[in-house]
Amino acid sequence: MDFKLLKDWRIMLVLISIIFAIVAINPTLQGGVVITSINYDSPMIGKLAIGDTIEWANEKTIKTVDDLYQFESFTGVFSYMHNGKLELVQVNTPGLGIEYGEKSKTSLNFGMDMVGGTRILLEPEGEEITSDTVDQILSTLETRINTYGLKETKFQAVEDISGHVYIQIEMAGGSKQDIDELLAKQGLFEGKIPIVFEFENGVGEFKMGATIYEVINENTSLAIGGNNYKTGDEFQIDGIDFSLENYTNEGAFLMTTVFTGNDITSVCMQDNPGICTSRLMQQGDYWQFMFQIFITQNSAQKFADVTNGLEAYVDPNSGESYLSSRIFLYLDDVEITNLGIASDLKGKAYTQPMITGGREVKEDAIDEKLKLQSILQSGALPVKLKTVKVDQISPSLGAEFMNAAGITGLIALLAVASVIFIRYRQIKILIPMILFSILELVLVMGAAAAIGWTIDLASIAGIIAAIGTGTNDQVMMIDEMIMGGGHEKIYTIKQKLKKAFSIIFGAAATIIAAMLPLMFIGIGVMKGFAITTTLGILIGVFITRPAFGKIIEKVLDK
Amino acid sequence: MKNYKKMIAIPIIIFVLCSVFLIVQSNNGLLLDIDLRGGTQISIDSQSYIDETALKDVLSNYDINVRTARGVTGYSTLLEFGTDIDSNNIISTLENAGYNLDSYSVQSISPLLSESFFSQAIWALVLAFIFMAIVIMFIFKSPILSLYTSLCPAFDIIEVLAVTQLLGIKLSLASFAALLMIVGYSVDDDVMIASRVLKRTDIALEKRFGESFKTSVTTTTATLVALIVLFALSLSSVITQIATVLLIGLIFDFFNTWLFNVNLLRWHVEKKGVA
Repeated sequence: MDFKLLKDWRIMLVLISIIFAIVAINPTLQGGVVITSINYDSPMIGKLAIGDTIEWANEKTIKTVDDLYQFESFTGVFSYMHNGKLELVQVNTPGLGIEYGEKSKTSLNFGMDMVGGTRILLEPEGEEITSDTVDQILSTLETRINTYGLKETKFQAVEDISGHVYIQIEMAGGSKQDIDELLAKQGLFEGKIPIVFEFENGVGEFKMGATIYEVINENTSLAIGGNNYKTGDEFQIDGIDFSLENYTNEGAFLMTTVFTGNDITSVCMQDNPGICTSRLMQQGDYWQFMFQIFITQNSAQKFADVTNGLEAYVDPNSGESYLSSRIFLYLDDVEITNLGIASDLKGKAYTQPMITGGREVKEDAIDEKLKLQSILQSGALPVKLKTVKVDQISPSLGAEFMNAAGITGLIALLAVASVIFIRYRQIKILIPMILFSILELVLVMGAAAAIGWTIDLASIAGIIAAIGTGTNDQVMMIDEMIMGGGHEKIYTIKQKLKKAFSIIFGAAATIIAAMLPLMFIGIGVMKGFAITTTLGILIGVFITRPAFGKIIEKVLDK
Repeated sequence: MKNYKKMIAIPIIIFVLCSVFLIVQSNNGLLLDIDLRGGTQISIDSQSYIDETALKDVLSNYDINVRTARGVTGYSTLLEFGTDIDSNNIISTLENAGYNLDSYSVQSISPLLSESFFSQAIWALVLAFIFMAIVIMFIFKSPILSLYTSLCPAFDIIEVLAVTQLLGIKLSLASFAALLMIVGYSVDDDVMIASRVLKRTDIALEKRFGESFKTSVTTTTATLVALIVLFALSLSSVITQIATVLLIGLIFDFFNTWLFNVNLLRWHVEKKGVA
């Protein structure tokens, strides 16, 4: 090959583009382990951030996940380099309390359908969803994700062409269950205390604060303070929300709401003796958790008013004194727990109620506690969310795919190369064709990395389609040039090439036109296909095809 | 090639037959995949065959449809059910029964959303067609040639839809993407042939057709072998669906191009007297 060819602008353009593509893809051989999540009880908390790379630990170079895994049973002083900074922590009990994955070898982002994960589309329920509502949903979800420490979770509002807004959540780890229990839950929290009393000759009473309320049973309804209520009615007395649950001739059952999620000022996340409680303990074959929440003075006063009317009694088992009603805690209308109220809290403005629960398995108890804490910390979502679409790929299926994709690509390339060889029977034509197909692959990948595009299955299909079109164009160019060769030379090779290019441009424009609407359907499910096809075709037309033309011109001229 | 005008009738007859079949089929309900019909699908990949009856017994509490697809490297067992059943429950039931669920995928979509996907896909197809026609108009600057060129992909799409429905291949968003790609491939060929026949006046007319045929055979064969590889190795359902639709589409496109489009072009050239 003569070096003059390298000075041609077309060849230079390809070479420069390839350099840019490789820089954008940024392949690295350097290993390392990336932190994907940090448990709240990790010894490294505060001294490590999600996304940090650990390159070195206790005199050992960390290249793979296994290198770091060796330290899972380690106790003592643990020294490590993260993002170039040295840190020392004391590890008292085995377990680093962090989750990590292998550092990606390139800056290419692969979609969850290729690496495994879960993607869920949630539709906010209700007539008019304003952008304020969407912002509120997103910030609530963000708090929940951060509090819970859900690893590698991406979420965003997506809009379809008719203006419908959806919330899309994508997680590399985690499961659909995590989304159902943590993110898709509206999180309406209520603390309720029942008031129960008996009727004597159709008249009963209950006390709230310092006031005694008389209730007259009129059979079809109850009269309280001059108003009549039926079973299921909701009403307010003295600023406290009531509902009439049930009544008979003997007695009545009222439910008061003393606080809701809006009244929570903060949630105790870490146990701090004397300040707040957040604990997990084993009780027989059961794991119990408890944590405190802090509520506003206003709702604490409601608690004082309602409990002031309750009787105290002594529990014969424990010998401790409790009030006659328990406090019931609900999340989205489902009872999560109910607790006895110690009788010394009667009439007190109690601002630190405790939330408890339990599970048979320790991990489940930890998980449930953290989910509840996260939901209470974030508050309720402004509207209910309905799951409308779920895509879930197990990580091992994703890994299998990546390997299979490489092999398939190679076999497809060989198959196409054999067809080309059978047709032209010339290695000097075959080699530039294959070379340019590979260059195009690198350039499309580079362009995808540069625009931060996430490569999913549809994108892979698009890349295949674009390279396929590229091969067709190459065949067309070669044929255009060898056509009318030999004795009847009327057009020069340059003129023929020009004709070939007008065909290529026309064909490229039609494919791009056909791809445009695809970008907007199905909330972007097929967007990847449209984007990579378009990228590939643009790169082909403006970068690789001119250079290929130049090279083929040389090859055929000889 | 005296009979070429008669040959135009063959693709038209096939097109009409396919259109009629498609109209009948859409009245009976088109075969739609989960993303256009709504529902949940769990796909379990395994090396060995998973007994369908045993699986159904384990899941006898649920209204579930089970089928098995055989790939080159193993089996895919597909469980389909309505969105009212929680996929978490199915997965935990299977795991408790001792099934190995290392490689699985779940796809679930509400019927309402999938309905809107379907209408969006139809719109995308119509819009893509209009955009394509405008571009072709720019290329040829001749209404009659543009019409000929646009008819070919239209034939392709209707015929692919009819044949895939006939073969029991379900329509999905991925197959819509493939249909749009067929439009692209088809026009690619048609533009090439038309420009050669109309512009390469340096060589004899018959030779222009002949050389174009060679190019067309090469590009179609190259694309077909690549698609056969993709189809045979069944990498993923999205890619298999796209490969299947493109495979059928390209075969139809080759016939439509050479029986319909080229013969119309010949007719056009004869009338205009292009040398």
